[in-house]
Amino acid sequence: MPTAAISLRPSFRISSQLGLPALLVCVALVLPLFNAVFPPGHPLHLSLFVVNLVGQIMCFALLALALDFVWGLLGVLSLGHGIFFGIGGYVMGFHLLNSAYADTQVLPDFMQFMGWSTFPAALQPFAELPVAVLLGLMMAVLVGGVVGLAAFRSRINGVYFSIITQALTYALMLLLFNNDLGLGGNNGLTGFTLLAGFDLAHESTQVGLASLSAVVLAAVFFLLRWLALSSFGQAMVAVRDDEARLRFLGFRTDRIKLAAWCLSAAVAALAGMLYVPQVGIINPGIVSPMLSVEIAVWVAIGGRGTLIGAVLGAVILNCLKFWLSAEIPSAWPFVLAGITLLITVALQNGLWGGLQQLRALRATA
Amino acid sequence: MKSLFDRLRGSVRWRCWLQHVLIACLCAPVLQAQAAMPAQERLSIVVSICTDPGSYRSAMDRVVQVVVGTSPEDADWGKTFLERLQAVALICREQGGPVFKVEHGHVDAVTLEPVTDAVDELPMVPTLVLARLLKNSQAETELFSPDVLTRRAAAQRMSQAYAQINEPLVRLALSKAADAEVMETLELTLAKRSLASESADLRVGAIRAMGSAPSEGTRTLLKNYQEDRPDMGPGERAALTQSLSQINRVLWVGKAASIIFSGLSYAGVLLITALGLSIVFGLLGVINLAHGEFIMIGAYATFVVEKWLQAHAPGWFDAYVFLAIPFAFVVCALIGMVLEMTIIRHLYKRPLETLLATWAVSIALIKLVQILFGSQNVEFITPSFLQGGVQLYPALFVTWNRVFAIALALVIFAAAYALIRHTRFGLLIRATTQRRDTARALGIPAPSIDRMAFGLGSGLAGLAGVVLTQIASVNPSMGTSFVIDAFMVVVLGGAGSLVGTAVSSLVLGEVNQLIEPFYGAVAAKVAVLLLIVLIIQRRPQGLFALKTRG
Amino acid sequence: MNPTTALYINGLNVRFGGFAAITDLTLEIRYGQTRALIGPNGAGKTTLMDVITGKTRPDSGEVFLDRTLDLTVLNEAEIARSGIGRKFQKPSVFEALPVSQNLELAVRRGLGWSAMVMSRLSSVQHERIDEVLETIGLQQKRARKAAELSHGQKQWLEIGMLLVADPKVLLLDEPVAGMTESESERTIELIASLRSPDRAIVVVEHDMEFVDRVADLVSVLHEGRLLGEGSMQAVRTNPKVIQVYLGR
Repeated sequence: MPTAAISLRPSFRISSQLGLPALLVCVALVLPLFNAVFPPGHPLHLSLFVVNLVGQIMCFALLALALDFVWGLLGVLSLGHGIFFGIGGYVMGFHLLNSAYADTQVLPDFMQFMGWSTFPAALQPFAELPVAVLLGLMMAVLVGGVVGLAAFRSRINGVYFSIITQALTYALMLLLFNNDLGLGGNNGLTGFTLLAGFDLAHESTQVGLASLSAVVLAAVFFLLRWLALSSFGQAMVAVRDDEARLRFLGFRTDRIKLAAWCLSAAVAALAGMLYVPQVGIINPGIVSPMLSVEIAVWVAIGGRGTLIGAVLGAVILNCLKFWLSAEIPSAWPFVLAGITLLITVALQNGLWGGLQQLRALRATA
Repeated sequence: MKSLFDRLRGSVRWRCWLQHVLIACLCAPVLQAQAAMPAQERLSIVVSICTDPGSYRSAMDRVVQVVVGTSPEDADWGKTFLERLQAVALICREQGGPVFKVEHGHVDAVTLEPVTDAVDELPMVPTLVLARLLKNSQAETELFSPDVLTRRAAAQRMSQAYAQINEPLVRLALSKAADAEVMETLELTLAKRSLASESADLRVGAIRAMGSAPSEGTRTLLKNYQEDRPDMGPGERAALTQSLSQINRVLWVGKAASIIFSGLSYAGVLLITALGLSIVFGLLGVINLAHGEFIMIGAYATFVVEKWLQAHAPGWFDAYVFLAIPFAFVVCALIGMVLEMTIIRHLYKRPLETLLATWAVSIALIKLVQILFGSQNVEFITPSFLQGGVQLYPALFVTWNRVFAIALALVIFAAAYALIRHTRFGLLIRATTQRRDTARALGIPAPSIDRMAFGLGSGLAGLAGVVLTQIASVNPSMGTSFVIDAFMVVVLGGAGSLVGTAVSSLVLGEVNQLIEPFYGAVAAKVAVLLLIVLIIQRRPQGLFALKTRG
Repeated sequence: MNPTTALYINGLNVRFGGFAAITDLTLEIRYGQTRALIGPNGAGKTTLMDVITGKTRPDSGEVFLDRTLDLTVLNEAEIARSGIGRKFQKPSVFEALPVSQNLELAVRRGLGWSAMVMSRLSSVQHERIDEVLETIGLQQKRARKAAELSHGQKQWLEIGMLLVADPKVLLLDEPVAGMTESESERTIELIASLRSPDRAIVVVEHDMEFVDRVADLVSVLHEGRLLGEGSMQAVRTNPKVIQVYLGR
């Protein structure tokens, strides 16, 4: 009786079958279009509000993917991915401030409060969209690189690393809350009007953004999946399970970790960039330590190490959060706490992992 | 944030006290002599005012001395005289002696007895000179008023009119001041007076004196003097530079000590928090993200005790902090043990899952407290014996509540240390931490030890919360920022090591306090992180790790 | 040193705090040899392996590969790539990966990550893996997750992972620990078959029968010092060795 099939440790469980991911991709791509295709009043019509929600959740799913790549596969639990999400978000915010100013010739409120009369030079490089996107990704990779280099070289691992990422998140949040920096302070950046020539307030722009988020999510998902199934992915799993052994086999494990980590940072920043135009605001709360832990909770609940699980977890939990926050706001922390406890204590492999185990059981029985 | 009551900062400055007592003793015999002949003295004073403008000054001085240094009836007379004179109610009659006009008639200016004969003359109108002297004299008498606020106001007026003050009188007032603010103002007044003197020797003497009585006030005074008088002599200039550098040195030391002191109270709380965390992490390998919430629960437990005492036993109110200590400890220890039994125990040897699970508990706890107590800051009333503070050194004002926090932290640390090092329970904990399997093989019930140690750790966090109520703001999210700092302490100091925790809390507490005022909270956090990364590189187990060749 | 010197260790000193793990150790191992390192626990055997593979830095002394490569300044990955393979006491394989992928990883020997993403294994490498699978007897299990192997099989897999890279020096730390009789027998055969004029093998073991059958020369360590060296016979009858093992 092969009991080892029901291993307790998260194993390498990315299936080579494309069935489920393809299905999910189709759903994701099609959903936002329901708003455009079906007229209001039709039962399958999705209101703009719902479409916008779908888009936001896609971004969160992307963020969860970034974390699962580095946690589920590499074994590095980052409780600070909010940093990269925030970097991407704020850079997009800078770009949108630029385009709003070009459009309306009116300075944003917070700049007026600071007594500025012209648009600051520091924010002007973000005026062109491709440049802004590139800069945002580079900044995320740079910050990730510095943190990763310092930590991985010093062989800081496991829980210590997680705590340090929390501390960094907290420090960045404090920095962004500072009202004197000219980054919006505790009110954040608002007043966005145009993105690449499209009016953000217009319904079709939002639908387009939601669809774009879905497309990006799908593309990144397949990219990460391909990487995971390649020998690079093998090496990542090996690092997770026995880094010392891998080093003694001649691998430069800190480089492997650094590469995966920087990629994850870039993906998280991308998620932030897609998120901001859809919510219309970015503020320091996005870099709170709590949100960064929540991302890990999404991944854990969905099933870490499977990539699909991360997407599932993000989708389910954020749907739940939006629904509950509207109905019974004070219940949400308790619900989240309860689910987290359940998963960590009982369902260690998360929902998707649990499903896989069931399937394996049934296959061997 | 803090209640109004602790705005009162009573303090005693004992340094110059002796000096002024001496002078008072010298003045006193002179004043005693005056008290011997009140009636003649009074008459002579009034006559001077009525007849001789040249004697106004000395007459006023004498009046003040009467008010200040004699019997209560004479003092009353003096005050009445001044008041009546100011009210333009002194009538200097050609015959029959001077009288005061009062509401329903006249009284004799000397005896204050009612006078029945008719009075037709008009009251004397004080000249400008007299009016000014009157004002001064009023202020001088108010220097001795029993009400401290009056004394302070009078001292301020003295300070502004420093050129005309009656020096011996001011010194007398100084000796009887009994209030730090009054004393400081009067001393500065005397110093200003000396600085304005014609005699260079006197000036130099004053400068030297100020050099040995450093304060922000004397420094400003000397600096202004330096700017106003570019043409002073070499001797004076030398004395000035020397005094200034003396003052600067002393003030710098005081400022530094003040910063270190405030770092100490923060380090103390950090110590107790990190201690609990270190025990739990060292023993169970559990990173408890809900540890900060135990601090918060401890603080709210103190609040409950405070309110209860306020309502049911107001006489005991001041002791609420002491009563809160066992209460908070027990509450937090119990909750901790329940947590361990229900959740943590199932996650043994899985640190990342424990992290998430304890995070879940923490958000639930925060929400619960928010629902029960609301999310705004909770106000605490400082017990009366903790209000105020003492000026230990120039620029170093030590508040009693911080001293208490430090003392309490040390006591708790000592108790915890004794518990871990010298009791059987502590021995069991240490054994199970170092070699779990061997301990179990020896029959030590590791699961029970785990539970009790977790309870101990949580209880300690609760105590940190009690201490925090006296020096920081209390609200449901107070734990989160604190716990990150506490984790840094544990990472740096080495999990499971008591000495390591003590040393690293001191280091991190001080670094935080040193950097934050100048560069902001962000820089402080980043600096701490850098420090930790650097040290971890050299010693991955922390400064004083319990497990070595693991 | 000698043209056939593989590992040269001279005057090695290693201290952990106040504890002297290795004191003034000098050792030379040649290609074609199988050397056994024996000695009581705490004698410094594992520490010696740690120093050779770069896990621990010595306080003083020389460690050379091939007479010219100073191992004390290289890190673990570099030392591994230079041709030294180490098998740990506790079987260290990648439990989550299938047996074949364990070997695939090992054969890549730390290529750059871009190459790892892009490249496929060459046919030479595939053949090598098949060869090694044959040698260690795990052909049938190639698709199974390493976690599902027995203790002995994991040990063989680990040896196999070292073999695919064709190491110059093989360091085996207690290869038969925890094995059954038949497994030990298989392992002895395996190690004996690994002997080659281009390879030096160092084995740390407590099982004297194993040592007898496998090793050419035996070095005895005690409390961090070299107590004696020679053939198994000579060492067995060395009075100092007897005292250490039987005396106290």
